[in-house]
Amino acid sequence: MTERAIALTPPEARAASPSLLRKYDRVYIGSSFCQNLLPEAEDLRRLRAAGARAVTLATPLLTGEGLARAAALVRAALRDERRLEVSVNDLGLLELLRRRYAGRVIPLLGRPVSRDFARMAPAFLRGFFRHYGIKMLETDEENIGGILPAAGLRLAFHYPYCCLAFTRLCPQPGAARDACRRPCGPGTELLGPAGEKLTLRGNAYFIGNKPPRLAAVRRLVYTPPAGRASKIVP
Amino acid sequence: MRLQVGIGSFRELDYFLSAGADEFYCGLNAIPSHVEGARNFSSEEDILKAAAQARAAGRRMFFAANEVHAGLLASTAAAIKRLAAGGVDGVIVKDLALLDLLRRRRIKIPVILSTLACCLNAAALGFYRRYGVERLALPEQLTAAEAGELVRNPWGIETEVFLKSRECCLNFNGLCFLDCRGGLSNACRKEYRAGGKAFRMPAVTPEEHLGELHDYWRLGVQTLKVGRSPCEPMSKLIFRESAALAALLKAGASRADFVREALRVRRVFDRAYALVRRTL
Repeated sequence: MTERAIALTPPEARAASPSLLRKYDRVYIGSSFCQNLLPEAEDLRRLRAAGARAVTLATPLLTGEGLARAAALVRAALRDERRLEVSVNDLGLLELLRRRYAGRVIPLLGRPVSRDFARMAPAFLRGFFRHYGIKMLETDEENIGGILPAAGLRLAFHYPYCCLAFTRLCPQPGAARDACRRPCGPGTELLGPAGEKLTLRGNAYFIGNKPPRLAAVRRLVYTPPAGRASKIVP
Repeated sequence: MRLQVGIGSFRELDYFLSAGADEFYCGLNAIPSHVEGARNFSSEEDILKAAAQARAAGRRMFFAANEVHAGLLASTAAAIKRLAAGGVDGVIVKDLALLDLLRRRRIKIPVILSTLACCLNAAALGFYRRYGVERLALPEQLTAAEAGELVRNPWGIETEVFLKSRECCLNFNGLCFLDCRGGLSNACRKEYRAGGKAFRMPAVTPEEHLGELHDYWRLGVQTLKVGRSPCEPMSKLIFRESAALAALLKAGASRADFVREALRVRRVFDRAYALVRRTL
């Protein structure tokens, strides 16, 4: 059976109602794109207390400072949880989790780095996943079935947004590269000169996508419209 | 700082040799290396000839093999093996599967980790070090302050930086899938409309970039790197500007003095860039 999850930033998670959280098998908290959206350990506790059945910590590429915060967060979360699922983009974090918490942290290979990994040789991928104990590859590519046909990996598919680019020069008003503490503004639709459409959410640019019908997809991860967690309609 | 420049022809090699480049890198048409439309050599033989010419002049030649998907993995590793045996001094790699294959096949060649690999912290660099990485092209999205732990890493891995005041992607370049033609027509530089208002993807100012170049130099970054633009005259200008800035750094100016003088240099080059753009 396909697991259903919802992905929330920390401010969205704080605003989410228990009834919303209980609709899903799992709640992602954090961000795959911005290290300023790493949650606090308290956010994970609050999600559990509010009825989230399972929690995944989403983490992006990390600077040295971001890695230190992520490591401290995992350490703190493991005081409360016997096991923790972490979506990882940064290879420094992946290595750290293997060395310190093998067996207690269950890593997923996060998007956006999964785009590169999905194109690597299947034999390499299988060995890499085995070595790091990676449970799933996360993707938002609709045509993933054609890209990753033979690796035999389980997939988590994120929808309804497919990331095309992300930046540390955040377009959100008042955002700072190194110390942003503002909640992201609402999503913005961008229209290019040739009619091309992008959706700006936080520090990333997206196009729309739909989940493919693939047996390898074991989890669907829904991302609500930015800044509207309290009014989410799945 | 050493000056490294990407080339795609013998004509460019001759030009940059006489202009004072210390190192070169190049690609092969058959192996994707990120920049769409970048000039490449068409055969391994040509690359080996160019490497021999560089070596005879006391310079080094590297080979860029970025973005090697599964279907090209084995042939790319074989090409790198031949190029290493023929005298190419190193290979620039982004792809982890290729690094893994080079290690497993015991192909002895120094590896430069591409800026596209998005290696943002020392722990990630430690990860890549196990794959034989000896040099790192610093990710463009890091500030100099954040790059300190990479530059001053405990393993003696050297670092390179692009002249970001001229060549810097607005998004994480290794994971950007917007339309991109190496500075000629990029989706990230277009003006978009957002609810009736103009929107441009944010960028760092030249003044900030140049201040950071001074910071990188003070940190100990060894190499200033000029990318392969699809436009040869543009590469020449960026190289000449880089050389002027490297000379300023060598003169030991303070950060404020360097930025002031570098901005003056930039204004001179701005006029030259504008002339070149008009011819494209």
